[in-house]
Amino acid sequence: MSQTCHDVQVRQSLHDPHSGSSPGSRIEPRIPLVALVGNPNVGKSTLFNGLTGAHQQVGNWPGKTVTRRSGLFQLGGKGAPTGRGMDGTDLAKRSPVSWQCEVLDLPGTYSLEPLSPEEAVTCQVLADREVDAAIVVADATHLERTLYLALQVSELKLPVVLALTMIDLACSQGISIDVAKLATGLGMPVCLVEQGDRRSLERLMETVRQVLERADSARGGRASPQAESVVGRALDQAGAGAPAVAAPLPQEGVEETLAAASHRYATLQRVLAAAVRRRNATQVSDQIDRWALHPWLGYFILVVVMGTFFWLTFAASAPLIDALDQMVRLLTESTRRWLADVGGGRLPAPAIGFITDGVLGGVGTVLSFLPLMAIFFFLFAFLQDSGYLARAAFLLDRFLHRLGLHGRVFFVLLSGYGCNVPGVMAARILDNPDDRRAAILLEPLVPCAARLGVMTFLVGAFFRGWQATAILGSLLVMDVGLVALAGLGLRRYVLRGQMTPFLLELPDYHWPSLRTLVIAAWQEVRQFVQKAATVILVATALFWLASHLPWGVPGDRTIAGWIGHFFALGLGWIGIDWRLGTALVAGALAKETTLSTLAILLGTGSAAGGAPAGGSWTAVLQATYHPAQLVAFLTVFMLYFPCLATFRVMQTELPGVDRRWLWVGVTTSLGLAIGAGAVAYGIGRWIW
Amino acid sequence: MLRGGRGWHRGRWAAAHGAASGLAQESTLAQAQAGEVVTVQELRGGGRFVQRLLDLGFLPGTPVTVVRRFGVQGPVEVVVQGCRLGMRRAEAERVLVKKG
Repeated sequence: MSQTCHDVQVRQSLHDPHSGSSPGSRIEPRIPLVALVGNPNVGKSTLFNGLTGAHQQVGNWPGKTVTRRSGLFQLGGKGAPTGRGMDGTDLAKRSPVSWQCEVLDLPGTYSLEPLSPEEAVTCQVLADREVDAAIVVADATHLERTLYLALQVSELKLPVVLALTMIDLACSQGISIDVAKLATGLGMPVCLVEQGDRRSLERLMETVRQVLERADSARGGRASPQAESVVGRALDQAGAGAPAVAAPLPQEGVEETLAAASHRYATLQRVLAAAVRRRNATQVSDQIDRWALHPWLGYFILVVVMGTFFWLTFAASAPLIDALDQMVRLLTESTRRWLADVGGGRLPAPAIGFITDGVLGGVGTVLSFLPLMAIFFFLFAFLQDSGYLARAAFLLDRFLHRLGLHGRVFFVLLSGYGCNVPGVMAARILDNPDDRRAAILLEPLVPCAARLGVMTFLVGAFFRGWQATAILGSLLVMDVGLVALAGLGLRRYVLRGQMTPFLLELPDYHWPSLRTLVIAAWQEVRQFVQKAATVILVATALFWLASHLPWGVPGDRTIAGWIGHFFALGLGWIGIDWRLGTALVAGALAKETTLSTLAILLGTGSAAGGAPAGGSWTAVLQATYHPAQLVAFLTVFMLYFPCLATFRVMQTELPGVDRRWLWVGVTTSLGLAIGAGAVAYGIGRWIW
Repeated sequence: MLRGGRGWHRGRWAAAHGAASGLAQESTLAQAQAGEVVTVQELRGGGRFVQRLLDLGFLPGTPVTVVRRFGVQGPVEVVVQGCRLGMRRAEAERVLVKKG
């Protein structure tokens, strides 16, 4: 790494880059749009998070179920995030130009010939020149493959800057890169980006600014005032000849791809031979993979890793959930007292009950999801970023592909254990539309954290010791079996489209940055709050009304009670009575309300907290129900219907004609639930 | 019924080039042993998947290292252009290779 873009001197520009007389320029200065493009697993998201920080907008591409992420980057001027550089100089003084741009994070792709809807978005945005410039993110440890995309993008004649990541990893692998030669050979400015080094990001964006300025003035027919800078030199040399790949895009057919790909790889070989030296060094990834991908030890390690993952999630979140629970209970109680005092007895009891138990209880329900979800998705991001999840998908593809599913379906279903809402959204990573539909329909069969919580609680209250563990374990194993069965059935008889070829990159292991993990977890939690919180709040409030109206009648005469009786008519034969039926209806709105509803109906506690003191749950449950009834109830509860929030997300993720699959999925899961419940009831009757 | 079907295995590219290049001496990537280094001869079939293989650098003449095999029917792990990839046996069978 002899030369970097350290020597790019930031100079004061003599005129405002955006007020130029180029034909396309507008009167108001427009914020330039810069795209981040790169292969998957090159640290693109880390770079994006580093550039935009918390100022990110996450939405959908219009008309598509592909996530669009963008954010603002500010260079110099006010709002510059760091006041001082590492050498102590004032950054604001060093880069007096206040400049900002919008950074658009395009979905990762290996090439500009798309295989998936996500990749198609990337290709379309670049080919239509919807952005002013592109930063191609390339991994210094995998230069051939990651620079291939850079060449493809530069063929589009967009202003391009190359950002090289994983520099430290490359150093430790004995790869040394002559950045100047690389820039000359590729015909684009090259910047080294180091994780957590703000200055390297500013250098990158300063280069982008200069490239944009140059492109602007080239359009306007003016000579650039800074042709002697590194950027200018690289661009001049590019113009002078280096790689003259002019393959037009999009290409049709294999022949054209072969020709273009050969040309690009030949170019890369020539450039890299001049710019890169490699010393042989043992690779840590190989060492780890010797065990992690061992033909049979690998599966053992997978089980251990997954077990630790779930154990950590529950162990770390339990104290947080308890603390939140205490806080909400305090809040509820003080609100209740306050309302009684302020109203001076004029506020009717039902109104107070509605506000405290109905509304605040709903808030408590939403909050109780959050610690578990946050920790789950934090650890999930760790597994994904470190490179292990790709190995897990590779190990499991053997089994999944017998079911007709792609190995990546494992990611999607696994994230469903945190919460089905982001789980359904995660199905976006699947290329094949039939895989996607199948994964979305299978998702509600995966017990989310809320369901696991309710099940653990009820099993723990009813059964003792090893029996509790055995019952919970067999329920979860049965669930995995049913997901497999449903997957097989769906792909074989319903969604019979052809399978996607399985081609999965196994990225080098690396230690993910804390910032990336926190942002990833935060985005999932935010998605949940945006998409689910309102639904859950309204649902719990409405359900509170239903289970108390008409006011003053006993529980089984309320609206909810009638609904429960109605369900008990159909499910009585598998041991589900009206109380359990009502609890199931509540669970269809939001899974956690099942417990509080059951608490009201069994008279074991208030609606707010759910868990009453001491062993009263155990006593009441054991007095009321036969073990077989409870097991049948838990089985149905685990499978029967996605919560309302998940249902809504499934609706939006299955647009247009796909909507019909939603009903297939819901009916299937209901059928599976009742069938499995009946079997569980039968077995239970036989055992006890 | 689940896979195959709509023509991954036959394509016009293979029809045009397969016969001429002497299929008899070639084996597929799926048959290569773990630890072996083989050279890509050509890709069978056509369509987007073969285009992707080309984009990933499975070009004729490129060396491919077989890192690991999972049983006889299981997936294979290969290194091509310095990049580690996992692929199913069915996909590996579409890459015709030569030893060495």
